[in-house]
Amino acid sequence: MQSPEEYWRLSDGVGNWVFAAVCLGIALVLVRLIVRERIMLQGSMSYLAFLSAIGGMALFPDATGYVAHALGFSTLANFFFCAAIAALAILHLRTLIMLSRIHLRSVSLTQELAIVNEKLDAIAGALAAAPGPGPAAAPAASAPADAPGPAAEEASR
Amino acid sequence: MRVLLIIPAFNEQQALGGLLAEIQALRAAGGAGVQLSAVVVDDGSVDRTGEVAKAGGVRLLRLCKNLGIGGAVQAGLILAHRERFDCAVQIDGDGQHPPGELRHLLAAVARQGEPRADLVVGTRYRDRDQDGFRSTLLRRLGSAWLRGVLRLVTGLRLTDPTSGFRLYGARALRLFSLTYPYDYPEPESLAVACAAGLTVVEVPVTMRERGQPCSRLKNTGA
Repeated sequence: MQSPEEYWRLSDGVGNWVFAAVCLGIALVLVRLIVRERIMLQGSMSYLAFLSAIGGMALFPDATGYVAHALGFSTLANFFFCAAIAALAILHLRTLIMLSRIHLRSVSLTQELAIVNEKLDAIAGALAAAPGPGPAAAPAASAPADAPGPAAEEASR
Repeated sequence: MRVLLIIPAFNEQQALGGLLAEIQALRAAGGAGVQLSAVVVDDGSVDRTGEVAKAGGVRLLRLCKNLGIGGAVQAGLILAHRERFDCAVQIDGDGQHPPGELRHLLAAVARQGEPRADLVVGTRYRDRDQDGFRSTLLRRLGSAWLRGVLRLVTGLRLTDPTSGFRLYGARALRLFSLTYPYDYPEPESLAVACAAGLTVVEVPVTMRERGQPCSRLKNTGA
């Protein structure tokens, strides 16, 4: 018989192996995706940590009950809800940060590409306009009046 | 003084030709010690904006996808900074900003005896005697709200924080080539400039009604 102070003790030391096995299965799928380079390890670490935490909770329900009790939760289900919501919020924030980084990088690359393309067009125009042997000597009608001069090219280097 | 005109344009084939003709006329007229160059930043347009820009005899940066006004302007600012222009002026591609008004912005930079302005914003609200386009009531209300927020956060007292007609000095070019806001770039960039210790001033200008009725602050999506 449990004493009233130990109401959080849920079992006689045997955890929920089925739920832990499900967590392990999902973690293995995740590892397989990482190995096949479908997802990145860096982005999956927090999700793996989350799986490990809830797998651990399933294996050691008494320890989970003790932690919940120490944190002031009288019902274990409330603790699970709070832990899951907090974990999802952290995972969401992490994803948001990664997406923003990728977006900024994409903007930066698009700008660089446009600048490099403009320079290549200017060089091609200048080469086509330069007098010399061969068919490339034809004047280029597409070279803009504002094409960067040698000083600007030097500065951009 | 070498000045680069940055013209962000998204599907502006109708308005761009006239604007470029005005700019060419301004360049032909010349100015004391001012060497004008212009670049159109085609922000992933699906119409003939790029062709119109090329036919207009200016440089063209063609972005392969739509980045919104912030990304387009920053592309021009990066170019201006790398090619060591003394300053850059942003002019909307819809023809809302008459190139002739550029002289007011340049005068604010060249003014002697005052702290050198790093960012000059052309306002349509400060000089009430002018006859130019004055925007709708709703936009003026939105502008007033932004004015209040900016004043509260940064202490800046501006009358037109959403104005896209602005001049970037060398220090502003250095700052904004590294970091430039993408979501609501006009008011946000003022806060960034203020936080970086740049001098922001405002000069009255006359604006025209834009060619397209929609606000480009909303037009940031692809």
